[in-house]
Amino acid sequence: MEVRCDSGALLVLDAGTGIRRLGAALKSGSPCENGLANRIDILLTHLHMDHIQGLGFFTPLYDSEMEIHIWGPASTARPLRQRLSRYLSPPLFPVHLRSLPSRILLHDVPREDLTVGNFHVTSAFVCHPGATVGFRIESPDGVIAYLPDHEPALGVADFPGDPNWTSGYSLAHGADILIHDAQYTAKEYASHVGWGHSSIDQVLAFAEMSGAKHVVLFHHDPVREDLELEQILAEALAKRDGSAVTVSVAAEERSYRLEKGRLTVGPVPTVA
Amino acid sequence: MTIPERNSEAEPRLNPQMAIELILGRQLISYLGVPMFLVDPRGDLLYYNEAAEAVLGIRFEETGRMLREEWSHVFSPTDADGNPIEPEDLPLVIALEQGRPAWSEMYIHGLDESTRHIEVIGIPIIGLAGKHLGGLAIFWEVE
Repeated sequence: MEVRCDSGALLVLDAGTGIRRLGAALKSGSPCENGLANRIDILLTHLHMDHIQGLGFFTPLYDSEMEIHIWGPASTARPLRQRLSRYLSPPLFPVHLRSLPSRILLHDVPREDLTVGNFHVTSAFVCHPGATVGFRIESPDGVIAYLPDHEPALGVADFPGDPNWTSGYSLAHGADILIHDAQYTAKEYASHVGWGHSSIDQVLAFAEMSGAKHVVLFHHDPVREDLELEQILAEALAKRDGSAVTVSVAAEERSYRLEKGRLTVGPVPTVA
Repeated sequence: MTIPERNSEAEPRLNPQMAIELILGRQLISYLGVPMFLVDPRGDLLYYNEAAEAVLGIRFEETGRMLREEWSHVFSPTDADGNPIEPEDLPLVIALEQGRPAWSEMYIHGLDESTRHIEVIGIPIIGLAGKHLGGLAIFWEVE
């Protein structure tokens, strides 16, 4: 997932397989403008394979002119570089992280905040197995909260209850766009409690509790078909008649434009 | 003995949202049968579980959150000779202030007017980012 602001800053949210196509689309030295031309910031929520497996195929990492900042969850046990190197090293990957020609700078979150271009990014640990953070991206045009792997209802008898005791609330509070894990239906969730993901009903409840304006259902179950997703969403929305939160389903190449708090949701592109 | 009023000064001191480590900590201890007591970095009480209610002699719903100054006195901790234990000598306060586990044996006077002989371990809660987030006391009655 790619986030840009008009001043030219480029944030990449996680590094799954989609990052390979993004890298190919960026011409060396011109991904951004206004003095940020050679900088890209990759925000990793956690180091599960589906969030880092595209990293080694991101071509700007092989460009010596590029400065790549990688922000990932802190650990007192091992530094981020060492944990990422478990994947970016033989035998899992032929190239060592240290051998990549670009200038790579690693940052622990939530120890550090990020300000680049018009973006100010904060983070917090959230409920998901292993060290996992969510991000809150603020700009003069609005706020995006990104919680792709998140189970705020885990062990909470009265979810959605007290916001103070709800994982992710501080990140999602009042967001213009909340991009949130929506892997399961309510029925599926019942047999996956503790796996670190949410049902669509829970996401909608969380969005409403947080005062988010628009929620993007994300991290679909990999076996889901497009039509099935639309149907599941329609069923969930029918149960929440009267909610002020608007909803869309994340799709490849779909774009969202946020301008002075006003959101325009792009259509779902047709895949040939 | 006075039961502290609910919604005391502790409420506005709390963050808008608890750290995930405290949220998960509260969830975990609410499922356990071992008496446990959870506090924030300052030592203000956030939660204690049902097993702890039996030892402290009062339900958490009745006390609500308490300031460190309140809970460290309200249970009147004493040593075997009946001498009051100062707050800074309580295991949980040591855990918070010195960042290390601490153990102690003591007597407390529960809010149900019963005196109980207990052992207590205080453990600091330190997050993955190395941040001090609070503390946890585990305690049990000595047979």
